[in-house]
Amino acid sequence: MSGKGAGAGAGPGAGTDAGPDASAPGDPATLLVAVLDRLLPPHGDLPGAGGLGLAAQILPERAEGVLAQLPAGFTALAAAEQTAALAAVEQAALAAFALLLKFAYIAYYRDPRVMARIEQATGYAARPPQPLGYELEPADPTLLDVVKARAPHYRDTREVTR
Amino acid sequence: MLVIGAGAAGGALTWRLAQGGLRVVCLEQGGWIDWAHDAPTSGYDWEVIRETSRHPNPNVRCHAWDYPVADADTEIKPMMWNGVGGSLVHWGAHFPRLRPSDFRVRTLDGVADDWPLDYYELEPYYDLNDRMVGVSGLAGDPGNPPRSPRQTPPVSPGRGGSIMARAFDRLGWHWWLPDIAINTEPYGGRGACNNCGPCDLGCPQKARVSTDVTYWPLAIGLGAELRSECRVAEVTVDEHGLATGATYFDRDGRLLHQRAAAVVVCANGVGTPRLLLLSQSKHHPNGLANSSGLVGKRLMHHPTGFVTGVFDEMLEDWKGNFSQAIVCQHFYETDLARGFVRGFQMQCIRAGGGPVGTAVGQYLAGLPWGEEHHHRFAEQFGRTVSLTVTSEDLPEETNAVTLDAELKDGNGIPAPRLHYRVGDNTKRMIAWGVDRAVEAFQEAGAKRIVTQQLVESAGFHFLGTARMGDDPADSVLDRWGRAHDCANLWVGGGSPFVTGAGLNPTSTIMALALRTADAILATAKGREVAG
Repeated sequence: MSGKGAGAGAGPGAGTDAGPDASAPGDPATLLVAVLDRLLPPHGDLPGAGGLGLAAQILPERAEGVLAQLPAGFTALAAAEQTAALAAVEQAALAAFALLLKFAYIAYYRDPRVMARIEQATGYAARPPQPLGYELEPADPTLLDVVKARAPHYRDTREVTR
Repeated sequence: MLVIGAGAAGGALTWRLAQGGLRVVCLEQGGWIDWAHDAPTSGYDWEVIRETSRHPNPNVRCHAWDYPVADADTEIKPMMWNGVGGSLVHWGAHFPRLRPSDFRVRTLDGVADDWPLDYYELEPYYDLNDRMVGVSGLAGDPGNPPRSPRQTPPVSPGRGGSIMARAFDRLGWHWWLPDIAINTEPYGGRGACNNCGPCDLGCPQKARVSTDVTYWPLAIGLGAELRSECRVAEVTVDEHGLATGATYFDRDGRLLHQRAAAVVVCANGVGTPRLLLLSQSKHHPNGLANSSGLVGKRLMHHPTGFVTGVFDEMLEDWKGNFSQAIVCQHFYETDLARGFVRGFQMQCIRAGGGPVGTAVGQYLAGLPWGEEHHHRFAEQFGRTVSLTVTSEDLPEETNAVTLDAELKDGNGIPAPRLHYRVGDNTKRMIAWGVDRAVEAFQEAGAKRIVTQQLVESAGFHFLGTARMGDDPADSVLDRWGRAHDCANLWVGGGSPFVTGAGLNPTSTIMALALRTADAILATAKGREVAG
């Protein structure tokens, strides 16, 4: 399911019977790994963003607004329950959620393993745009045939007096 | 001569003045970009930099060169660059000329005001500017007046642009390969475009025009002096109300004064009225050259609707300059049956962005998180084409730049505040235009079409805030760009625009600046320009 716009979900306190860490929100680093795996889940042979080890690339202040609102026992919840809990946090703390999501996406899509996968799937080279640039295929020489054949049709003003 | 601002207008105008033999000093609040060593697109973090330190919004970027802009009262947020080259440092280089009707909107269509000059008077300056900077494109568009051969061949429309061109043909809508201020072959001692895409992050090939790589090296070679990281606080005047120069903070924070026989303010459509309003004196109690009360008023943007088509076919939308593949001005002129006056252009652009931009969202909304994310990325990445609905904004005095009562820049100078609401005519125009863009994408076979009625982040063009005119009661500047109230004060940039037109303004800003420079030269040589 998509989190964006998903309004239903467990609120704070959901999953309080979920295991040993049920009474505490948990270690921020561990929590962030779990959150990242829900934001950007495993795909093909790639683990999720948490499993890729991207939590270390996200500054604590960009995650704390979300982590602080997670229900106790979040890491012990099933994936669907975690997604629902995150959707609830997104509703309750939109700006904080958007901040974390932006930097999660940035960390994920500049990871070499992800870039290599995109190159394989689309042909988009896993390198910066410069200095090589790209080859842009030339236009079909017949493309302009229709528009070139039109008579002048702009609104001339040489005879217009103010 | 003192020129304030080293952007599109300041660069062109300074070169022309220096070529004419005048001694010119230019004060620019920002600095230079060293493209050989500071080109974001040469690194893996280019998309991160685009979202942070090179973000086009100064309120997001918060660079020491920037001033903050109070934007709580505007529907369109400010996008600009403060530095040598001005906002050309991060522009897309779409380079259309105004059309003849743009100068005669009151006479032809009964709205706003005519300009005090016409297209044909400005045409030689368009041509001069094109030769100076280099424009790629194709002469012969029957939808526009004939123009001189372009300096380099047109940019290829690519797969997406070609699909849309065929769709326009089937709909009977006129389109053309646009004028673009990007070298497709080496020109002017600069390299050729290698189609890397993100022109907004600057061009290490120097193929894309900005005045830091075109006019400024020439102007400095002719003896002009450019002092960067020098922020002007006030244009000073004498006991007769004539300009005497400007006070400014240098890069070490020292408050200095530069004397000058005349002053030209080229600080963009926000910075120019800000500075004029800051420059209050006995002769100019409401701000310099503001006896009309119009300094800062009649702010115009190009309110932009945006429609994106997602196609099944891989279009490789990351290849080629992002801001235009083809352009359609079929709906540019007034047809009252549409429910609005004046019109718009549609730029067909390659705005898909890289992987980060696709996910985070730029013009198009960001991708959803969660299980749907990877599917949506695969469906969208590289497979989009977008059409802008770049509308003509009519001037309204309630849309304005004023001084904020509390917000200040790094030197303690009051910041500008924007007051802006999209007018009803413009809203109807965009809504109608968005429907046409949807029609075009349906014709082209897009499998998903996403519409936006107003792009909040499209505040690139600030126009009209010190308008030209013949009557000092209802204009700030005369037909040459000289202040009615202050005979040795001139203004360049977007501020002199009488109306905004429905297309990108930079070629007109630069042509007007060259024309103003010639008027200054004539005045300096004792040959007053004709009224």
